[in-house]
Amino acid sequence: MLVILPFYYIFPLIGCLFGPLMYKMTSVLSQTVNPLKLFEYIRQYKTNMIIAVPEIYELFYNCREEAVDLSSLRVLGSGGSKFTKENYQKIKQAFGKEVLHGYGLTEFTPVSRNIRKQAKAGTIGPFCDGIEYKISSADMNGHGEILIKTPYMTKAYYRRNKETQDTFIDDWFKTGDIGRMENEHLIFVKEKKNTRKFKGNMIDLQEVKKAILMYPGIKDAIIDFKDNTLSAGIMIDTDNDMEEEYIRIKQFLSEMIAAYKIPRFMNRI
Amino acid sequence: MLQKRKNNMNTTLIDTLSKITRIDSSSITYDTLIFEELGLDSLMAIEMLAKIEKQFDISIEDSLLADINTVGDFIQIIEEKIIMGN
Repeated sequence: MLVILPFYYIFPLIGCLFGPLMYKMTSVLSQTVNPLKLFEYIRQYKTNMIIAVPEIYELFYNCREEAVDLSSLRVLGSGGSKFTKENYQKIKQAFGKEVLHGYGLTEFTPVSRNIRKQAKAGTIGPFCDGIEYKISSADMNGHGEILIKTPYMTKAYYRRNKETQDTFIDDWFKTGDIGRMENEHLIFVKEKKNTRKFKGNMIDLQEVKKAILMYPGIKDAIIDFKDNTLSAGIMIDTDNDMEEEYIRIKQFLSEMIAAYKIPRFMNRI
Repeated sequence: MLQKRKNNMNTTLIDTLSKITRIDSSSITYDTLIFEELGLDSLMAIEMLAKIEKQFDISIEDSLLADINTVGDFIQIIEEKIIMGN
């Protein structure tokens, strides 16, 4: 397996470290996500599997070359953020490989995953063995919150009683994600909670808002995440040129929050 | 000759940046801040790096991205790599 992702969060920890150990696979650890170098590793080490986030496959797609030899690859495993049906089909077609997408959370992973030869674009496959599930309070389209129950799951959040009480109810874990079932395959619809997944990273919209509100003169802010882009509407008391002000706000934010949490676009409200 | 090559490189870099960030190339200059103004994120930056490496047949270490603030910084790194013959 070609390992690209860092082991410090749950998806690569399970998928790229525990998975290969369980199945006695040989792993090649890359220190870069540069697709040109990764293509070279695949050719050189004849790796047959990669596990990455959908955005890395986008990167592969954008930098693909006809001449590159990826013949050893059989499976592109994916998770960590949403794989749209269009992007899934685009990647599958461009590389001619099986693409298996899965779903899980820090509290428990994997929850569901595509199975080889049965993967369907736009789905995250059947639930894994040993997991009971419910689609709670489903609307007329069958969209509801995904609830899971499994004996292997964490029981509580460390020193966070309120969050534990709100999330773990009668042994059911409320994922905060909205989904629906289609022929036994789970389809992820959207996040109900105040966090968003962006390129495999978790963004807490409230944390971003709090950081923006610390900038002098900003009275209010609305954080939005649409089409995989984070943006902020800000209410600010200033006569300064706003284009220059946005740069100063971003520089201010870079001292407060991680780079991927800084809104790409800003506008005045 | 050297100036022509430099202009060609600048145009290539700005066009590539424009395609990745979907920001019109006419609003990208030597002084444009790559992260704050163009909103380039880490994966976009890697894509940029890979495309430039391919275009100019050079190799740029990912770690150099930390030293890049403006389009001009990027151009300077590419120039140095080309001059050093990679």
